Amino acid sequence: MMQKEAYLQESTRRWKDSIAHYLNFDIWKYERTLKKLNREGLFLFAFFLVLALFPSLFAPYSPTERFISYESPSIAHLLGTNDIGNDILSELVYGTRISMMVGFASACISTLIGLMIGLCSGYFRGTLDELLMGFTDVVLTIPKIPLIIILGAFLHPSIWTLILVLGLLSWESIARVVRSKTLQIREAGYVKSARCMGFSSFHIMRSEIFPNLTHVLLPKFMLATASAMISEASLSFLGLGDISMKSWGIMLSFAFSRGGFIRDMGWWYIPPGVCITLCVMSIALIGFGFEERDKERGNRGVDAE
Amino acid sequence: MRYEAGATFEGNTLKTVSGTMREVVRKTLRYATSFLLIISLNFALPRLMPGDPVKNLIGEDVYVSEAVMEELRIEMGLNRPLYEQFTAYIGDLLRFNLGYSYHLHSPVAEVLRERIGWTLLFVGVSIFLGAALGTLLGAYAGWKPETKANRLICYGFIALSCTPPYFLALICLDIFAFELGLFPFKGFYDVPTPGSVMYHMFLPVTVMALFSASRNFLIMRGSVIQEKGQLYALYARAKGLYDISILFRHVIKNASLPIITLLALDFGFLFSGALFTEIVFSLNGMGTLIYDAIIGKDYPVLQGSFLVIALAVLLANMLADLLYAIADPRVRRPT
Amino acid sequence: MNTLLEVKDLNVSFQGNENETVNAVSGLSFFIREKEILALVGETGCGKSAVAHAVVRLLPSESRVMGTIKFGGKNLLELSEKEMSGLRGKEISIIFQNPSLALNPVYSIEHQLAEPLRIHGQKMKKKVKKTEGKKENNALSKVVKALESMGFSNPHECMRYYPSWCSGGMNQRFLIAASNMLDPVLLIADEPSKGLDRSRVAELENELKGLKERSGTSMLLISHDLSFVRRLADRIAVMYAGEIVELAEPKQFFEKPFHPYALGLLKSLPENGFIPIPGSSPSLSSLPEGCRFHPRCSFKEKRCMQEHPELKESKGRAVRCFLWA
Repeated sequence: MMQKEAYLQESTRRWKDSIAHYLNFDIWKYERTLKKLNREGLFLFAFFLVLALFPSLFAPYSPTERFISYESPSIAHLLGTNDIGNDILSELVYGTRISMMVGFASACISTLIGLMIGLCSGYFRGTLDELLMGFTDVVLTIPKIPLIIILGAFLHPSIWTLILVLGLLSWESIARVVRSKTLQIREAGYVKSARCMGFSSFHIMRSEIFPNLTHVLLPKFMLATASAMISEASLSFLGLGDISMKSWGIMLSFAFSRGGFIRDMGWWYIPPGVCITLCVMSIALIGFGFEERDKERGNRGVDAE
Repeated sequence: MRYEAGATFEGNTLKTVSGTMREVVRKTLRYATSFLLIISLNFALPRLMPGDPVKNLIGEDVYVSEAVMEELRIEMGLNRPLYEQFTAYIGDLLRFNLGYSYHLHSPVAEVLRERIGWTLLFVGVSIFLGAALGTLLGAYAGWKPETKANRLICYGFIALSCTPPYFLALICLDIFAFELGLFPFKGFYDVPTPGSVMYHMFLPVTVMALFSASRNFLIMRGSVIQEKGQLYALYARAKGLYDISILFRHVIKNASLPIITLLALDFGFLFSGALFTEIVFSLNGMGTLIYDAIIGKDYPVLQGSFLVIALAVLLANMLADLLYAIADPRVRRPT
Repeated sequence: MNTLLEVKDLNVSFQGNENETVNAVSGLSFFIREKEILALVGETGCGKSAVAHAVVRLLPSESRVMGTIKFGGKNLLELSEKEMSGLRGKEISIIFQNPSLALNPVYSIEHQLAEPLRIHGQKMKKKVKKTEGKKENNALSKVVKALESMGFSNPHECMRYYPSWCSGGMNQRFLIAASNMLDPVLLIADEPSKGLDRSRVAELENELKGLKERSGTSMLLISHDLSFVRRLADRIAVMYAGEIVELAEPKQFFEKPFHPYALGLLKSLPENGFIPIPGSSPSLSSLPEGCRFHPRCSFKEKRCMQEHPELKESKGRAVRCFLWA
């Protein structure tokens, strides 16, 4: 019994460790870690995060306030105004929150689904694995964006359906990675010992395997966010976004379809595009950084000789 | 030492001929399921989505009276049980009947046939160029990842891969067509001679090729970095090869294997990217067709396009699997 | 007999993961005569492989290699990479310890066996351009011959195989054949018996022996397997923590080892009682002061902990120990 208690304590400690390690609060301590995580990416990301959290601090006007339309940049309107007279800079700042929310929310959904499918598939193996991975493969071959286009056309999406659709359709690569990692971990000594002690499968998956998956999940989550943001921007461009929530993609789409491009109003269509690129890049860079660090950890294990 | 990392291929030596057979069966099964799923999705979508299925099947902006609606409902068999509808639908598919676009006043199959050629040409050329460019640059960047030039290229390609393709297209169009006047900013609606096609296609193809290259580049770079640490690369050096010839003679073939799979999986993605690029450049392909269909709520065209694209992607995947089996001796074994 | 390879004061060090300096090899000196097999034995992690890789200059570029490695009158460490690659595979060959990974998985055995011919044939190609077709045939027959000499009865079929289709033992023989395509003067075999079962080791022994007799190849045989080395080597050098502690002919060595470590090694053999040496070998990044073996030595004196003994030579054998001064 005592053994079991000690074991339980140990496992919670490991949990906390891994969380503290990965959602690192003392990240600034480690100069080297920071370098690995791509300093540029982190700073850019922090910048966009602040924009998204406190848009009112940065935007000069409310995004719905109307001025004279099609104005060129001036001191009053740094990026001019659009077709209905909204201040473009304000729109841009407020759009950050929406674009990032779509990205993160749908990445959360897809990571969750991918995690469950991958974990079950890798842990239980056998027929379930075969079925789940078969399903994953099948979903993988269906082209996402055309399907989302057709769904979008039928559903006239609000931002929530968009998030849901994007999340539901992009979990396959996560599921695969999680599965292969789970297959590895389930053979490790501590998992075997936990099984011998008679813990339930759910408990083992939650407190033994999951903490060890965080470092493959995190980069995948970041990359999923990045690609969801691009998909959102693309769909919005086709007019399938939620017009009531003006994201960067919708701004671009309006600039293209409502005369910004023809009138050569570079200050209208370039900033949202650049923002999308930079924001996606910052997230992707952080993801790559995590991946690289993970690889190095992996190497260290076999470096023995 | 570093190059001992992992006996990853060890398991394959145990793989038997029956194992290969099972793999083939499994793959076939998966493709068959995908095929079925695509077809059923296409069948189910207009019938499951909110709204009247008749509206969903003919398109929303078409004005018809109640009486005609009922007529159409009977004609399309929407009042019959689902399985009968499904068999009828399969029959239609076999006859290449994809429905009728009331917007364009012509059968969807015909509209698609007109358009898909251009898109396939566009996508094909871009993918080919992108693969070549991305693989070569990626291989070199992976071989010497520390040099400044390669780092710069790497960041450049990361930026490219993070840009929505249509934004890249917009910027290119703005710079090269509007500002510099080097290229036309409208698609080719004149007589398609090879010269004019090249002239009109150059910019969009460049944009798409760059976009496709950026994805291949990143994969290839990582792949080469990983492969060059393998023991066989060191052994190639021990045989008397040096520097770049190790890359070209030994590493590149191994490293480019994942590219084959990536190309197939990316085919759908690039296809979608191409749609957006087409819209920006007003090319006469599927992209503009879909764009117009979305604006006009022309559901039959949308459905038909989805079906065609999905099947094209499926085919590309099958091709990639086949190609992979030919290229990688670890997959095939003597019988 | 002439000296073929002479290594003097070889030092190999590199940066470890925690930024510490790892001295894989320190002050190593030995020589190999023509047609001689020198065996380098020692525990895993004592720097044997580093020696092998240092001689062919295949160590990762981050590592620092100092000293001289004289081969045929030239110091290998001073050659340019291009000159070095002209020697590799032609005059000095190496067999790696993991044959299934050393062969490229996507090329056929034939391709890989003929490769050294192609690489080193290039320089002569310009002169004999007319006989191009004949040359290919020539290469083919050479591959066949090499496979036959490795004991393959069906060389034409084997040529079409890929490494992943074959067992580790087969790949091992392919690798030996590939390394010997151009009859190198010196063959470095890095743990060739690792991962093979007993019967395969015996076959390997015969193959290496045959090679030496047929083409007069000198060998640097690196192994941790004493009984394997016993039947093959002309001289045995025992390495411990990056330096040679004893050098002797096998007969003398197995009869009466001088160094306590060598004694321990022999005692740990199954036929001699299976008695392990207490403790474990020191980390190469923090070596003990004095004699490197003293923490594990049962004969140690006060002096062993303070002074580092030199390698003392007498009557063809050498030992690094104060007990035999």
